[in-house]
Amino acid sequence: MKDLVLHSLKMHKVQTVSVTLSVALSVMTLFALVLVYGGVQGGVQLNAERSGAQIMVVPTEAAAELSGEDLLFTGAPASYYLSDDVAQRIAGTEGVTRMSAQFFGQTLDASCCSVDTASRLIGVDFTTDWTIQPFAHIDIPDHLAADEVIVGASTAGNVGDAITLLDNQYTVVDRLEPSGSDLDFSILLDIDVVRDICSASEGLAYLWDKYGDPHELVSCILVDYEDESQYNRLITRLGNIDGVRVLERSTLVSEAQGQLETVFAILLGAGVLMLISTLAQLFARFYSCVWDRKSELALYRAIGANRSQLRKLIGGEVAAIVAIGLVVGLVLGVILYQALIGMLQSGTAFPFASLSIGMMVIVGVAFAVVFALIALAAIAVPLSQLGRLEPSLVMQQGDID
Amino acid sequence: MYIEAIDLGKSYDGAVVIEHTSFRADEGESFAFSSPSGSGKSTLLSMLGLLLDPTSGSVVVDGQEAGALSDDARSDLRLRTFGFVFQHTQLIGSLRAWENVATPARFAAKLDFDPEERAKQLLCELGLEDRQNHYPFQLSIGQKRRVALARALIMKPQILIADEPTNDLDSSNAASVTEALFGHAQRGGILLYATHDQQLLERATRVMRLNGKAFEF
Repeated sequence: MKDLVLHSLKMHKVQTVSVTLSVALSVMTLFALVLVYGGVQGGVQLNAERSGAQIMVVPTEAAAELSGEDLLFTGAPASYYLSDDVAQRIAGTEGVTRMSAQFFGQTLDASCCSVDTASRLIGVDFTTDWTIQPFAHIDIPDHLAADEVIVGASTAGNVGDAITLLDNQYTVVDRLEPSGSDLDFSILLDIDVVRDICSASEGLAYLWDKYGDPHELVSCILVDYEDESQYNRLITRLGNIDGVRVLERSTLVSEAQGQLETVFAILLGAGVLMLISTLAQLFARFYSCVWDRKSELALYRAIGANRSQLRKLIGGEVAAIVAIGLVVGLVLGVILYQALIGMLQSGTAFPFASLSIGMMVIVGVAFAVVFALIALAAIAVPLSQLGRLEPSLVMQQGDID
Repeated sequence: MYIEAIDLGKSYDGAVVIEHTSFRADEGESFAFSSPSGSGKSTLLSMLGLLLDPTSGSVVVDGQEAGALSDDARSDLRLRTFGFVFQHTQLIGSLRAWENVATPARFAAKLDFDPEERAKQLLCELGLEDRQNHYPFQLSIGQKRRVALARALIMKPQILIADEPTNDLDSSNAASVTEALFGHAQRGGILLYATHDQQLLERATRVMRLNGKAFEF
């Protein structure tokens, strides 16, 4: 039976390749789409669930240079600073229940440090911060020791490792859970330690000439509130503070999602069209297969094949085509997924948390099931035709091509 | 082993093609069916080979009434007990000669022989040892008929059914095919065939001719 299936596939090469390609392209598009969409949704969810800062206050000039999404989600290098006084004013603003300052240092890479990917050095005021703890495995103390760092999920270094940053050695005390944001690519130190490092950096001296002593500066201020009804007033009050721009997470998240939804809609449309095309091709392939091969199938019936064997013959062809298309499609889907992520992230900023390998496998298996069902739907009519095929037909036919 | 037709009849949309045909063929017998073209020989052979359900009467194969069998059981009976040589050979153009011969074996759950080996052996016995790997389009009509005959014999059937087996063949090829067919009967098999060929009719143990709509001795 296997030989006959292979023979049939070989004998209908063009159709076989065309349908297999169609299945592969559908799987590729939809699989990549699901992975990207899942990653974005995961990133948004992680941000919403674990990051308590609904409001971020940054210097106006930083906001002028970079989009809110860049500042909030991707941690684009923003060497702009606010006076520490602003932080005090924000703390005293009516409606603010808690706030915490961060100080952005330089972006580190392998040329200066023992990191394998570009990592952002961030000083955190752990005495007031509430945004990092949800991602941590330890109870973060109010002050990290001067030689202690916490690393983001995508940054080099495991707990207990010694890493070198700008000629100094530090010990990793925790590795955070993925956040889907710039935090994954950050190295966190106590805010004063980062200020010391930056103050001593000759390369950053021009900044301190402009902004003043780094020990009296902050890069951004995370703000939290409780009274939902006062939210708009709070935003107005914060916006009235000179030299700052207020970034609202909910607005930015929905804007980022809105931008991505257009892309997703296009991709989803393409994916659905390909799915319909695949269904139609599978149907046409096997409908015509049964119709055009009536003589051959009737001959098989006449020489002893039962209906079940003919169904296995047709089913085997479908299974082979769908299986090959699936495998090729899933592999291409992963490649397309990586390309899409690269393209999307270069064009817009959004929180992203890639699906785990286990989840990808589950999605892959789900695709296999869906396409198996599609294939079954496509061959339902041809299979029922087979049931009505009279073996005596063979007596009326000529040679079989 | 025997095959028996009991008051066999077939109608299409009320038009009677065959009626009241009865006979019994036992091991070693060869039955020839003769009638003008288009008068129902192929229909009769189809019913005898369990390819077509009769409108009336029944076919009994070694005590089993075919009409009472399930479709799967009839398929199995066709596979194990019957061999067919169709009028137009019905070879599959994309398969080599030996692959065509081995095709029925692919539908058998169990075999006591190697299909490729037996297919090639049968082709050798029929004088086609140098045509085993040829495709049907590379064969003459006589060679194709012998390939079809080898295919009919591969499952070692007890009943061989042939529809106009020497039609379109030259005398040499016709003789070769005829010998192979009657060799089957001589080895204890049953041969049922339709033909216009006078020489072939003369070789039959019994000849049934169409009288009205019934085949009679």
